[in-house]
Amino acid sequence: MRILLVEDDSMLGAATQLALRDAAHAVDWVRDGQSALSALLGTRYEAVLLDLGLPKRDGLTVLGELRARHDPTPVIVLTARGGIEDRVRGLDAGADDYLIKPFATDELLARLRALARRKGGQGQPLLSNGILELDPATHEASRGGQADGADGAGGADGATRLSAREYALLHALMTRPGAILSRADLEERIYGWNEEVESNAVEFLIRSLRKKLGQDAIKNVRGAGWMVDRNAHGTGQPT
Amino acid sequence: MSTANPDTRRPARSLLHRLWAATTLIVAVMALGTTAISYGLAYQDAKEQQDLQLRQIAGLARRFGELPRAVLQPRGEDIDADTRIVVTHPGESTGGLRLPGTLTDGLQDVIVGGATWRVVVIGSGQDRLAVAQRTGVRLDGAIDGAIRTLVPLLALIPLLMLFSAWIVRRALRPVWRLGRELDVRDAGALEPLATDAVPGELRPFLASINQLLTRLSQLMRRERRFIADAAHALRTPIAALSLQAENLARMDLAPEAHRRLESLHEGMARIRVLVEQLLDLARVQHGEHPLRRPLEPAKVLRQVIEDCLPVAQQRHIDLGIARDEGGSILAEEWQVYLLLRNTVDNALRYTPTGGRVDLAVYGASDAALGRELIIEVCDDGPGIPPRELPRLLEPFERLEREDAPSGSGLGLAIMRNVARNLGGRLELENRPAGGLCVRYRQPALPLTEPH
Repeated sequence: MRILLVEDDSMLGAATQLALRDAAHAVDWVRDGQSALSALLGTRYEAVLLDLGLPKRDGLTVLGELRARHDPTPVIVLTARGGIEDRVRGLDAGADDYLIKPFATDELLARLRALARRKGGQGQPLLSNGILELDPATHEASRGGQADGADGAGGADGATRLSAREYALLHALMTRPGAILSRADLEERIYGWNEEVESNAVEFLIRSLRKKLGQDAIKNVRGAGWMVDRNAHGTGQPT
Repeated sequence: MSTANPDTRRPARSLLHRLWAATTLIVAVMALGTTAISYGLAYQDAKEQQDLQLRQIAGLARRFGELPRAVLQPRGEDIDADTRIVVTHPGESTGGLRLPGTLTDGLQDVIVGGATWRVVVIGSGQDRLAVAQRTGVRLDGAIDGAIRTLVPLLALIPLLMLFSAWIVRRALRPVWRLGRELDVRDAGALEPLATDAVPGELRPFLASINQLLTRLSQLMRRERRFIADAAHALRTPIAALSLQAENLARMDLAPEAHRRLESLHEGMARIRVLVEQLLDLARVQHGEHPLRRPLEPAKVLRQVIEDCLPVAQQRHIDLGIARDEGGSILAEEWQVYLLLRNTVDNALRYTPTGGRVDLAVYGASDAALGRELIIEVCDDGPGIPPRELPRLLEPFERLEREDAPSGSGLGLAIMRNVARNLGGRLELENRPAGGLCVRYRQPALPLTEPH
């Protein structure tokens, strides 16, 4: 992946560039907003890592100008100001994602992979958390990626077809890996407005999903609900 | 310094009272003046009237000769001594009045028997005739005239007082309204006051207040900027250091080097947590005026579990919700998040590997405060020695225990600040069976119909 890194802090810039090169990305590094805009005029990048606090032109101005000239290059905003307002401002200005400093290398690489997948061109991208993959087009789920050692039942590579409700439930969980959804949250996703809710439907669906995808595929958080792991270590390059 | 001398400092009197005193004084002076003048004029009038009357009677008496005695001496009771007119010959006694025979012709004042009489003498020789009336009647007339002037003027005083009270109240109503507006205003709201409805005399004062408000809000903005800048300045080098350490870890290193790198990682993780907590503390210290919205603490609790779960799983701690009765409070979400996040972080830190942390949300009725919502975090760690409990909510305080895991103690200060900002109460209590319970109580919102 060819990446433009825009970061004025030399120590952080150097460390980020090295980390990305170690992961086999081609990285051009500029230190101010003006140079970033010039670089983007001449070269096609697959992603831009954009610090917000930049000299000459700040990150938001760069982003605004980039979008104003209809440049669709995906942008991940790097911000040290973790305030909600800053994130919202960044996303409103046309950023595709944001990372709050300090961030781990793995997190950065995972966001870049996700970006690549989203911009990959398919109508409906695969959902993945590094362990499970879910294809919204075919309603098929599989244990993709590297199941770290202890994988449960279910063919490691064979995709399993899910029923409509199983799919709805897993889709809800896979949309935000790491988020806990309560029983009420899940019931809302798998039942229509006028359908009668069966008392232990959620447990039943989760049991059958675990049978198909492995016991550890869906985790229970006592008293709070269910989740799928957020796993930044997964390589999960979809094909 | 005269300003520091308490004797010279008198509380300023009310505007209305000053106005009252001034109008009363002015009206009183005017009343006295006009009364004096009208007394003088009325006296003059009465005197001329009396003289005219006496001359006419004298003229009549002379034309008709001797008047019947009944006229000269009317029955005394129904005519008061002051107004009685006596017709007599000088030197003779009529009706108890004896005028000296030496009176000259014309008008004169004569004192007879202690009373002053106005007398007119006409004619000559045996026919000399005197008509007399006491001068007191003139005074009566003058006093009557003066009173007729004075009374309406005095009646004006209460009327003017009422009227000025009305004007002052009307004029100052916008000021009182502004005062009330300031009272109920959220102290974080520092927009200038509207000056258009206020009397012109008060506008400079209000303009000064508005300048003060502007300066204050600039100051607050600067402080918030400072916190954000500090966050930026601290996080960037930490990010660089962590990335460099990770870059190093990917290299082919000797096992010993890897071990040393691992402790470097741990040190940096601690710095990262410390910086985040310091920034959080700074934020909650500036969060005295939360933007309150109805909020379900159970939802925030779930968010906290999501964020704390990796640590809990790593140490095989069973983190979960033991009791959830739902309910809402009025609060600012990020503050509640920081409160619960730090509470759960602390619980996880002091809970041994393989332990259990229970979270709960439930309602309780307090006699004084009504219905409260309680958010509870209980661990099964060692608890806290009772004598340390009160000290624990100070910044940088933490348990002085050799086996205590490293932590800055800032978490407790953040929790205490949030509790104060939101108007809730924080309680620490050792469980009888071992472990610590931290409870946060805040008045609950009335239950609404589920939609």
